[in-house]
Parts: sequence; C-alpha cells; structure tokens
Amino acid sequence: MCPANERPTVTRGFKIVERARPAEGLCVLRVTGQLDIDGSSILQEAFVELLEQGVQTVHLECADLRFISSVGVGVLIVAVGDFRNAGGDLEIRGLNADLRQIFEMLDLTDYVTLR
Amino acid sequence: MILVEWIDLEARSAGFEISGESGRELETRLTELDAAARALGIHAVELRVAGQPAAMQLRPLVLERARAEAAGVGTEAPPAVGLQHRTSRTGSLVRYELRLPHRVSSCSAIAAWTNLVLRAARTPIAELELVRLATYELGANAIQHGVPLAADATVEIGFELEAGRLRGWVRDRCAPFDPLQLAPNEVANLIRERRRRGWGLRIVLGAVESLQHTHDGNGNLLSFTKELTDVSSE
Repeated sequence: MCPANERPTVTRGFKIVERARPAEGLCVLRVTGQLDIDGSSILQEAFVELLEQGVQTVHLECADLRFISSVGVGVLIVAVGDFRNAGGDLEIRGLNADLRQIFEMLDLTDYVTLR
Repeated sequence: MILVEWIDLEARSAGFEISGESGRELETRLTELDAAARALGIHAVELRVAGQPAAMQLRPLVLERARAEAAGVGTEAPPAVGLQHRTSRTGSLVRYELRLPHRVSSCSAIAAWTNLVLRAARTPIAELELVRLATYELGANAIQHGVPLAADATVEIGFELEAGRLRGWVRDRCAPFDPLQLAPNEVANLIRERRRRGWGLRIVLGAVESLQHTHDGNGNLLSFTKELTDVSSE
C-alpha cells in the first residue's frame, strides 16, 4: 500500500491520512481538516513528490475536508495543470456542498474535475 | 437562541446561554457547537439557561476530542495565546469580537472562531461557509502582507448580527493598504498563469457584499455585509 517512507503527514488542522497506489501511475490521497496556509504547503509538497515519482493521476478524496482557503484553491488549480501536463489529471472527489460552492463561485467547475 | 457569552481560550473553556430552545433540536445544536468549540481548542463548555437561577453544567469535550483523534481526524487546536473574545448585546443586535496577535499562527483561529459564533447564531450553513472563508481571507491577508505599525500589533475580527443581516469586519494595525485598489484577477488569467496566489480577493468579492476599506491612521478597516436568508438573534 504505502511505501514505508510515505507516512501520513499532519499539520495544524490538515492531514493526509491515506496514500494508496491502486494502479500504475495513479495515487489516491485522502485528506482531512482545513486546507489553510499550512495545509496547502503540505499538500503542495505531496503533489511535487508524486510528480517526481511519475504519478500521472491523483484522486484527492475530500469527504473529510472542512475548509479550503484561497491558497488551497491555488495549489489545487496549479496541480490540475501539472498532472494534466503529465498526461493524467487531478480529480477532486467527495467535496461537501459548502466547499463545492467555492469552485462554483469561481466558475471553476468546467476546468476542475469534481466527482 | 444560543449566545456565545464568553470564550476563555487560555482556560480552553466557553460559556453558552440558551434561551427559547429545548429538546432534541437543542441537543443537535449543542452537538454541532461542541464540535465547533473543539476546533477552537475549547475543552469544556458551561451552559446557562436564561431565566433559570444558577442552572449551570459543564460539558466536558475531552472525550469527544479523544474519539476524534483516535479516528484520525485532525483536531489540533489553534494556539490560544493572546486571543481575546468579547460578546456584547444591544437590544436584538449581538456583537462578537475577536482580537488576535498579528502573527501567522493566529490565522487558523479565524476560521474556527467564525464557525463557532455563526453556528450559535443559526446562520444558514452555505452562507456561514462563505462568510467564514471571506473573513479568513481578509484576516490572513492582513497578517501575512500587512506592515504592522507597532511591535504588539493585533488584528480584530468582528460580527454584528441582527435578524436577516450580518455585518463583519477585519481591523488591523498596519500601514495603509486597500486591496480594493487591486483589480481582482480574472480566473482565466489565474489558470493560464498557473498562479497559486491571487485568488483571495476574487473569493472575497464573490462571498460577501458591500466590501469597503478605510484607514484611520492606526490601521486598516475592511468591512462587509451579508444578507442572510434566515437568521434570528432572538
């Protein structure tokens, strides 16, 4: 499942609680908490590592995500571009209605893959 | 109605006053508020039922926090040092204020505190989330990018709530900076330029109404309003 050196990473209010590689080139990240300034930094580092490891597609499971700041939106949008350039995508999954409205408000639902 | 009477973040406790609510709905509301209080680092809540003499009880939240941590849900609390809360009432208008030290570690408390006081006021959840996000963006921007005018500068967050309407503000002690002078970035440009930053003003303008800026020589004041579909301070 997760390589030994890929421990769950936690910072105040944000946590990557699961990293799975169900198929070649695909990684599933499950996150919880608040994607604020600190959390966005953690998530950005995780995306960079995955791209360096050759991951092309990420499914970001967000059912337990409670807050997304503007920095979090920026990190996600840049990551969408990065993974598409790698031949895959970043799918944002399980957002609750309150967080999904942020993407709707910013007219991002046509650009970002929301499941 | 549930009023957040006081929050003592040093002692990690808070006081709620309940009036006009009872039964299963009250339990549901208190459960939600317990979760919101826990996110702010509060471990115990004192309940007072208005009009009843000395009817107080403490709800220990420690067990709930332990369960949440065991489930792997991040519950680390924002730092309590230097945060001061105040509640005041004038007739049907309720005013909540939070004063925070001007430092990056204060940012996470903004969203958590906003969530707690607006939930207590029965703010509709969709609108609560937009106000919470806008308040966080304005406060975090002031903390991250503002130039403090004194070494012990603070940031103040506040809400006034009256039936159907919310007025909010973020006040800093920084050199003049009016974010409204910046043209909000077009989303298409932000995507094309692969910008991680620059989304905040666009979010704030979409989330709240009547955003205004002033500077009184001591700091910046950004205020906004939000018409609410169903809120009552009674």
